[in-house]
Amino acid sequence: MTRKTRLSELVKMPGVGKASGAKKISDIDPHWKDFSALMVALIKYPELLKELPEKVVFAPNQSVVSAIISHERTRILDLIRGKGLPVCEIAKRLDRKQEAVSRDLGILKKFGVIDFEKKGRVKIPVLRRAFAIVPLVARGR
Amino acid sequence: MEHTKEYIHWFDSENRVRVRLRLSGLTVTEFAVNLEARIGGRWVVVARWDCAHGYLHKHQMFADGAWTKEKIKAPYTMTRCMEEILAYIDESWQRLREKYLEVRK
Repeated sequence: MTRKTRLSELVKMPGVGKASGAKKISDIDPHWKDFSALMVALIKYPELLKELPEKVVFAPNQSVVSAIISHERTRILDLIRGKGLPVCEIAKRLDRKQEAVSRDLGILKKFGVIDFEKKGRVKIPVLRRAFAIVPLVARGR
Repeated sequence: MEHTKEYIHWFDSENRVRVRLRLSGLTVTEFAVNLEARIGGRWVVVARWDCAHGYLHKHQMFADGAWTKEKIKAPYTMTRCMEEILAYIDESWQRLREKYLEVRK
């Protein structure tokens, strides 16, 4: 067994090989190979990391971007930018239910768009600086 | 100073790959690769490869909450490991997702 073959076997999950007829990611996503190459390059040439934000979401189309940043979430981001508003105040200003605002904030936190700072017993959502969502555009179209 | 960088690639609206790189200065000291899928309305980790604790290992997750962990004894560079893991995910993401949903005996 060659060194190359051995590593490709080692990374496989037990009993999970390629299914015949299964689609590869690279068959359905024209950006997959670029993403893979970028990840490998970042390890090999870590100085490239200086140019990238702390967190990047590569989204293949606008619907994925919208799933993260919906209209309501954009309103929340506009409101909390530079202000230290608690969730209840955000809900009040946006005329929304606090549970709904909390849910949206949870999603934004999950994607690293915001973080929470504690002020006493109150959690204040704050924007994280180093974040980017990159909507990708297929080449050759 | 140690810090982490994270890159998430959605290859469709139900599936994505998350790569996390841990750095010390300008050296990558650890990485983790997650294959994640939206199943039953929530995002779950289907499979994971990482080199936390100083060695490379792989985790297969299951819908019932179980998971397996296996050490990969491989004297390869992180670059080579990342290449092979991403190539494997490219080919086998659907099978990995199916495996996650398998009913275990």
